[in-house]
Amino acid sequence: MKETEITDKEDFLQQLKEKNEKYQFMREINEPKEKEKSGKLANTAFVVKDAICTKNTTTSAGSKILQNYKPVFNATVVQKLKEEGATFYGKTNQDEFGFGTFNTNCAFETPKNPHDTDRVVGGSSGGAGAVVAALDQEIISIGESTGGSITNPAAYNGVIGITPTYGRVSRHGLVSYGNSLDKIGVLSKNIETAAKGLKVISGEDPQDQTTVSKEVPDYTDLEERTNLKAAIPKQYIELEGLEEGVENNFRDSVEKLEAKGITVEEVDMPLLSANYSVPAYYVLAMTEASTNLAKMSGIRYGLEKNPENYEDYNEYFSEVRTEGFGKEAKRRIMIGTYTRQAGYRDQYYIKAAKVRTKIIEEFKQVFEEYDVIISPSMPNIAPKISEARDMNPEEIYAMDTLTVGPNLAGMPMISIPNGKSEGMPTGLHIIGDHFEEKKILDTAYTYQQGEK
Amino acid sequence: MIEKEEVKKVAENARINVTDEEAENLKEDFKSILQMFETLEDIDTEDTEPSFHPIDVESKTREDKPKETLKKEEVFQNTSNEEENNFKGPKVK
Amino acid sequence: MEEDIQVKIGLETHVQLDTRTKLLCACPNEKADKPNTKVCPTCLGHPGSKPQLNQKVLEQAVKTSEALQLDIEEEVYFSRKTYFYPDMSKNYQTTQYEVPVGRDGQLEIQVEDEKKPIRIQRLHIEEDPAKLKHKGGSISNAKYTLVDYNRAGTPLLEIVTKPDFKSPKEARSYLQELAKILEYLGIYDSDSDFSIKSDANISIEGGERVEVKNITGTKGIEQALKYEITRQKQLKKRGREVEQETRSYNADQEITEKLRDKETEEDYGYIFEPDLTTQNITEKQKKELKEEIPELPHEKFERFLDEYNLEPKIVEALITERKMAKDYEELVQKHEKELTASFMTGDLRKVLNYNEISYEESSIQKQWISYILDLLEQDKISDRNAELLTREIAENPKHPEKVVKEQDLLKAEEDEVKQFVEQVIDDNPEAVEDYREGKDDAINFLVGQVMQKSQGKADPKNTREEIVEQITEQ
Repeated sequence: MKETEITDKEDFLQQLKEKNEKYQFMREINEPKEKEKSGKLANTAFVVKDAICTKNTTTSAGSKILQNYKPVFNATVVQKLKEEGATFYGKTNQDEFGFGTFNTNCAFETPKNPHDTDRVVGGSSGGAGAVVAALDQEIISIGESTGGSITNPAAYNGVIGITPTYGRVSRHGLVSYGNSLDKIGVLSKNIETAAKGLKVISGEDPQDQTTVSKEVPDYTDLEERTNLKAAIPKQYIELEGLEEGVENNFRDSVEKLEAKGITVEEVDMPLLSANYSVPAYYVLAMTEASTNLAKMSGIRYGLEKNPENYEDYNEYFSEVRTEGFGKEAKRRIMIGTYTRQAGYRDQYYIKAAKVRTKIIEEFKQVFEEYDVIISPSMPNIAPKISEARDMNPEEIYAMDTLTVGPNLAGMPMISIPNGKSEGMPTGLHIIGDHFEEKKILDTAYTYQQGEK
Repeated sequence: MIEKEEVKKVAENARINVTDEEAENLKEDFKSILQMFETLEDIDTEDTEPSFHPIDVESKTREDKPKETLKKEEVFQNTSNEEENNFKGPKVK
Repeated sequence: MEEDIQVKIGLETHVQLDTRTKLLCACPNEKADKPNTKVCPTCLGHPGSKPQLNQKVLEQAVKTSEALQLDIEEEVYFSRKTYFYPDMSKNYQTTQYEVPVGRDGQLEIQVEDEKKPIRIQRLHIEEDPAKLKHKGGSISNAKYTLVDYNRAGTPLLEIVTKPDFKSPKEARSYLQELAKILEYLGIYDSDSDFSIKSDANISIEGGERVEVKNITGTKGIEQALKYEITRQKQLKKRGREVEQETRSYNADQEITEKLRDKETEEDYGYIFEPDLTTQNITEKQKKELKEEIPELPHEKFERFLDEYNLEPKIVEALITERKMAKDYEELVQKHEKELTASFMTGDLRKVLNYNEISYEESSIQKQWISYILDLLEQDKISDRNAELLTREIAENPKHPEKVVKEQDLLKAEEDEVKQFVEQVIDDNPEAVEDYREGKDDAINFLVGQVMQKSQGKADPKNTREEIVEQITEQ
């Protein structure tokens, strides 16, 4: 699509730098030197979440412990984008290893929301959302979601964000948070760009054996669909803490969809309540994360010390890790270590995995009768940075209620802007069954017809 | 109810140093977070199999065929703790 | 070994598989001249890297499970075992915890004349860590460690027995039988002592269990266990308790040493490996892999006893190497069974051992053996020269016919021998007279003379007979 085409590269780079000065969404800006290939994404700019490996460019996943890590390889998604001629412009800021909802857990800068610089950009792919909102030029912004980290910043920044089904896009090159939960996706201004970007990065990858061999449909063939049935989980709309402005925008969205001929009904999905979906998600996420982060111990890469100064290896490891990890990372590593300890493992890790089965069953049941599930993307507008910093962990985790359920179940979802509240954007969340990316894109496309 | 000593043990297992004060604070974190996790017990999972992936992953393996390995510069580009092509690490008592 | 002490031993054996690539990445699984040259982001544990499971390892695990009569899981999972050590690329090891590839099998061993089944609890796949070199000499006064990741990610099979061994001899017999089976399956490098490593769990008289780690190869086990049992008995004699602990086998001094006490047994916090997929082993695959298994040593042993009517010790020696057993079977289609067996396990094996090579490694071709057997069967070469010939073709591989010609090894012709005997009888009338008078020694002297004249080519037995005949005729 011509909309992503950059006509003046110098100007674009200038813009990127200026906006970044204001909002700090970039971890590192890359000034492209090599000539790109030609392809579907010729003259299209792309930026990538810090945790996604970019060859010889710093990949620190928002953490001090990987501050200087320069991978010797490109993530598959980066490789694919480059093969289609897209131009790499740098890495976006994120919460450390994905641990966060507001991008306030970044070891580097805390990005500011372009709509209101006192407010957060969301997380953990906060920078990825802010950059799209800040620039005039359309770009492809690659983000990653474990519990909601694409559609959250999409909603807070008033842009589009699509999280594909687990296994649709290769995780090869993604610094892992939760290996059974991580999904790489796209943020952009326009739905056409999101569709195009997703098509390019999707597909089976022998380097990530959890990717599926299913064919990738042509997402860019966007169609209006009105013969659809949408379900609203009661538990989402009755969520404690759902702001009035957000709810109003959602209700407006529902009316809009109905006006187009789409049937919208409320359904009962008890396992999606905060009581169940949030703990089920966090137990598995933290458990997996605690093992993924074990490798950061000061040998071969990352923060390191002089090994000769240590009496024993445990001392060495502990010092590197204590210095390199932020507070939230430490908290999650420790809890995740506890939940898989012999004696607690059945109660937490195995139990959460069983609840996950039930949550998936609940989704599947609803999808037998409905095409999509809708809700607000986030329960609030982007909070003020100072407020966010004051919240305690459990308050923050509860903020993820609307997104952790579908993320845990590996369902694809998209957030599209659906209005403003107190001057800040809100988002409409559209969730589909496994591998129904086309359906949710089409639904979003349909929603947007007649806008502007 | 988790005790401070247990928190310290978990921290040690995870190779993270905590001061006494930090352990005290973490104890509180543990308490409230584990409490949040407890609601999972309300759900009957008697006849439920655990899901370690959210989709039915396909059985995948790779052919036993060698590929190119890294060059020396690549192997050591992320560290300065190198000696005669080895990585320098802390000693094992 | 006193029979009255109740001993219980269990073995946990790690076998390094001989696949072309590592378990989770396509780095070559081979010896390297320089450290860290067979590495990639996956086996170096680089953030962002992902594992890719090697198909061959799975197949070999299934085959070995079949050979050990284990029940094979339909759905195979992998686990993460998390712990911190400088030789770990990821500070977790990819292994199998809850669900091993195979369970509940057995291996029959024979000690002296007794046959006994050893129960095998499980067989699973895991990866080897990196190699550590302690800079500063030994573990105890090193200043730092040098780490080489060439070995990191090497595929291993772990085979765990129940504590069914009642003596070090039984344990050794098991390891040797296991090694034979693995050699037959062709899955590991039998030349390297480091391809098989065992940890033993020993308790005496229902006491605490001691773990002895780091026993390499198949021979050290007996000594290691003997030492440990003695040590435990000594403690008890002195009225002290045997503590549950982990020790290490020091092969140089042939003793077990205490390993540093771990403060607490660390919790490995096992989880299922989410970067690898579940492997389904279908009946069809199991069948196909089973068909690839060659006749196993114990099966071959029974069959050889039956078919070839050889002594058990000879059969044992013959089937130690699969190739030798195979060539034997082809050779006996033309040659005499016992002669062939005694030649291959006798002269040939002696020469191979002397040169420290296996039959498989040697360049000796079975046609060459056939040629030598022909000569022996036709009585054209003396035993002594046959041995010489065998040594020659082992050390400087070429067709024995060439050697025979070059070194003139064949027996003297009958006529030639007759002539030599005539001459010797003529030349030594006193000896002949001595013989006639009943002094048997005299004939040895005469035989020796003929041997000298013929430059060793005369056959001693025939010569003796010829001498006797000629003297009698006179």
